[in-house]
Amino acid sequence: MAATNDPELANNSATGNITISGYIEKPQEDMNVEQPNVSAGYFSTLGMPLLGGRAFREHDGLGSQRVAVVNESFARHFFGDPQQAIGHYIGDGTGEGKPDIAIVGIVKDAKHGSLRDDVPHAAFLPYLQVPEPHAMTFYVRTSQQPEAAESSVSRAMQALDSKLVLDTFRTMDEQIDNNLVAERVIALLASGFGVLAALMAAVGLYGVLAYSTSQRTSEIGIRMALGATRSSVVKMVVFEVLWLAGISIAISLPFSLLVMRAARSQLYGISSADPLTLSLMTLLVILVALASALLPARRAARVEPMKALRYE
Amino acid sequence: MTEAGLPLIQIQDLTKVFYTDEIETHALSGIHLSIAKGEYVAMSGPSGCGKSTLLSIIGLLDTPTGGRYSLNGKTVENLDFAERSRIRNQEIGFIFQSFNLIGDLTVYENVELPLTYRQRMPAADRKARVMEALERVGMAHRIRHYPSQLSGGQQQRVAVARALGGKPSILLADEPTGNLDSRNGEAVMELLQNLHREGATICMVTHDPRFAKHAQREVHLFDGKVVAEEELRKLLQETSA
Repeated sequence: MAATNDPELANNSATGNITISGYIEKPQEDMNVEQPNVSAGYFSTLGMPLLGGRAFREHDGLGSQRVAVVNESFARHFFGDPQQAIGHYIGDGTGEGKPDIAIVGIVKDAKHGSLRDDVPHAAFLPYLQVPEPHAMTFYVRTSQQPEAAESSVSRAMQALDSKLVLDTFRTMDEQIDNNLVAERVIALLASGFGVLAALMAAVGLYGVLAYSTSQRTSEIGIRMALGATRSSVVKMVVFEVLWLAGISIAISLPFSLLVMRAARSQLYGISSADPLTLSLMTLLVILVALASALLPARRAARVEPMKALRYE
Repeated sequence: MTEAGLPLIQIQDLTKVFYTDEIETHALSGIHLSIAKGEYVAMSGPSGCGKSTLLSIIGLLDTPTGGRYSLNGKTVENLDFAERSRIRNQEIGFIFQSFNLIGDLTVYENVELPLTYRQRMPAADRKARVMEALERVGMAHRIRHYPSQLSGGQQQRVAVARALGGKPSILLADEPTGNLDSRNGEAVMELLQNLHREGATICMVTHDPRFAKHAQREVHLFDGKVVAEEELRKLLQETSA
């Protein structure tokens, strides 16, 4: 179990300026970093691997040496090599007093405020070294099912203090889902409009094909009179549709790459030129084109050459 | 006669009835017709006598209601669509009154078109056949032209080349001079006669007696029946009276 005053993926932020002993700030350099107050066992509970040094211990409290664990981004930014950060001192505020917080460990980077944001420079501090910690969020790593874990946690709290109430209980997966609500809504809307656009394209393509096929009734009749089978007429119509689809893919693919590059900041867990996504999009265009061609192609194949040759 | 001694085309007691709503129209009744290999036959008769319907059945573009039809010794009246397509493609060359060239295709592509439906025919063979056919009709110099860039007579020559390209057993011509002036009409008739001299079997529908005279044999139709020339003359006189 672990606790923090700055919960993960909750669009929360607890920042403050710092001073680093021996570090010469660049002009206008932003020395504001994330400073969550966390309990011992926080990193192991949250699954944040320790890259060097040590994590917090129960005895890191008031009266003992003030300590900090910084993340990889912090260490890399201020010290170049993450391992070099250990043993350096940081202090609260800019230029106020002597830095007295020893960096004792480095943890691997993890998303903090939201999945969309870059990993911030973070210096974790033990909450027991904060004079008046408040509004803590607790994390429990368990192998139990969430429902069972909730009642276990409630019982444990009741045993500790009967006045304590479990306010909100959610799994990390739910927390991530909550963090992605806006993205999910946008994705849902985009998918809806995408489906609508595909349907409109299919209807439009069907209309064009149906018209052009009816205009070519006489030609189809001539072809059949000269030996075209019904399947070769279907192939002809489908090939023409695929040719059109191929042209549209050749035009739209580079354009979509540009658009996706512009929307890169809105993407999480996928690259802006994801080959699978692009392949699926291409396949979808081909399927829409084929679906649109199905009826006109079948109609063309049913043409009777005798009637078609008389058709004007 | 074919190599097996049978006529190229043998039709026995052929009938064709069109059904529209509750009306039965007997377009052809009890037609008997034989065409030997290398023969040039003209089918003539007044408008609506059934000559084009008969040509469509001979060309496997339509199916008879009754009777028997064998082409090159093979019974063909009950074949499915795909098999009729294959036989049309390999055994029959069509020459239509309105040329029926495809406007988006060049002269070369139009002549090549029937050959493209033959599987396993190499492109080099197709090219040789197309050029040979176009040379026979004197249109090899226009291979890159489109039909709209040609005169009616030239378009019909290309249509003849298209019919010849597949080396068919028989050429079926439906009023091949119907959309041409007399000069171009005569030129096309001369072309057909030359092809016949070179061994082609031709069956031509025409309502113009001048052109029918070019054929070796005339088959007269009246009200869906084959009639003798004298009888046709008599029937026509009765009708006009």
